[in-house]
Amino acid sequence: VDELEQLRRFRAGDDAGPDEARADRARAVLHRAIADAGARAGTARRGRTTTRARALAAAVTAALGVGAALLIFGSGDRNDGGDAAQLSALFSAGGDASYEPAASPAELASMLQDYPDLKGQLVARGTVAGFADGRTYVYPDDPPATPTVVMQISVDEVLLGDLPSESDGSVYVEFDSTSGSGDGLAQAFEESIPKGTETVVYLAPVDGDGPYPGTKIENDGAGHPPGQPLFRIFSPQGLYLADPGTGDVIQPGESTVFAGASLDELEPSARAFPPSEFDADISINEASPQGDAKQPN
Amino acid sequence: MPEPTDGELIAASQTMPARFGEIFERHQAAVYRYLDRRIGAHHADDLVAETFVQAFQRRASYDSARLEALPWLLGIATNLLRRHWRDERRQLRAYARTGRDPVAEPMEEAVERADAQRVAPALAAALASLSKGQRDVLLLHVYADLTDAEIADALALSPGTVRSRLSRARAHVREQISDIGQ
Repeated sequence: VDELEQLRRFRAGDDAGPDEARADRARAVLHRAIADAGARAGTARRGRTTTRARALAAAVTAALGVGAALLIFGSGDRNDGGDAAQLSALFSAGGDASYEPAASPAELASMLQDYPDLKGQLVARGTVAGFADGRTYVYPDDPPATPTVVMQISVDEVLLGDLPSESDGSVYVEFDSTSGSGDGLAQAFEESIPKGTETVVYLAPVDGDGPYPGTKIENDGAGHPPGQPLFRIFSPQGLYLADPGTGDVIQPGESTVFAGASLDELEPSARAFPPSEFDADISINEASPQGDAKQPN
Repeated sequence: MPEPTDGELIAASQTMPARFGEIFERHQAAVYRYLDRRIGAHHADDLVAETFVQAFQRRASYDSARLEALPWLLGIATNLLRRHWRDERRQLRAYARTGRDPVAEPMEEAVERADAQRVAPALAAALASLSKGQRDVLLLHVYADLTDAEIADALALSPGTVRSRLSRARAHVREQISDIGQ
C-alpha cells in the first residue's frame, strides 16, 4: 500500500457526504444569493412589497436589469416545468424589490404620475431601436461597480406626459447589469430583444446623481447621445414587449405573459390587466422583426 | 435529450440565475466531502455554502467550454481554506500527537479501519509538515481524485508546478510513514 492509498483511507470515514440537514443549510444560503441577484435584477413578482429600506428613489428607479431582461428574452434554452417551479420558489423566497404592485395599467400610471418629488414622468409606446453599453455605477451600499446598458426606444406615441424638449424622438432607458461585467452586454441584450420589438414603457427620468443618493457615476455620458436624458423603468411592472412569434405581450419584470394580449391593453387607459400567467423562462420565440426596425433618429 | 453539461448550465445561469442551483445539486456532496476531510464538518458546513455563493457570483468568468465544474468549485473551496490553514495544521498535529482525530465524528472514528488507525497519526504529521501549496495539490489529488491538469486548472497553476508539488509531497509523506509497518 503506497502513500497515496494510505492517504485515500485517511479520514475517509464512510464517505457518505453531508446529511440532508447540512445540505439544506448550504442550499438555502445559495438560494438566498440567487434570489437576491434575481431581485436586484428586478425579477421580483407582483404581490411582494418593500422589505428593504432603500431611499424612496429606489421605488422610482427600481432597476429592471439586464439579467432580468435576458432571463425572459433568453437564449431559447427553455427550462422544463421543474426548473420553472424551482425558479418561482427561489424568487418568492428572496424578493426584496422595492416597489408597490399596481392592480392595473391605469393604477400604475397614476402611481407614476403622483410619485412624490418626481418630474418628467413618461409613458410611451414605440419600438426597440438598439442597445449600447452605458454608464457604470458604484452604489454606496453595493460595490463593486455595476455596469449598465441603455435601450433606445424610438417613440411612436406618447401616452402620458411629454417628451423632453431636447428629445431626438427616442427615449434612452438605462438598465443595471447584475453580471458584474459590462463587456458585451449590449450585444447580448440586442441578440435577445430584436430591434423593432414593439413596446410600452412607464418611465421615470434618471436624476443626474444616479439612481440612488450617493451613487458614484463612471464614464458619464456613455450609451446615449449628448444632451439626451436617460430614463429608467418605473417599477418592474413598467416594461411591456410584444412577442411577434406568439402574439403575446411579455412583462419581463414580473416574468409574466399576457397570452394573446395587445399592447393596447397595457396602456395607461386600461382599467385592468389582461389575463396573465407567470412563466419563469419565457422568451421571444420566433419571427424576429429585424429588418422592419426603425432606424435610430 | 442529453443532460446539459456543467458549462452549459453555468452559461444558462448568466441569464437564468436559478439554473445555478443544478450545479449545487450535482457537486455539493463532493465539495462537502473534500472540505470535511480537510477541516472537519463544522467548518465544512460554512465553506460549502460559501464556495457555491462565490462560484455563483463569479460565474460570468467561467469558461463554458470547461464541461466539468467540479475542479473549479474545488479550487474555490481550496482558496477559502486559506483562512483555516492554521486550524488545519493544528488539527493534524493534534492527531499526530494523540492518535485521535479532533475533527472526526464519533461514529466515523469507531468504524475506522485498524490499519488506518495505525498509520493515521504519521500521515497527519506528514500532512501537517507540508507546505500549504503542496498539501493543497496532494489532497485535491487523493481526496477529490483530480488529475494533474484539473488541479492546475483549479488552482491556476501550471501543470509542471502541479507535478512538481505532487511529487515532492508524495516523497515527503512516503518518507514520514516509512517507519510504519505497511
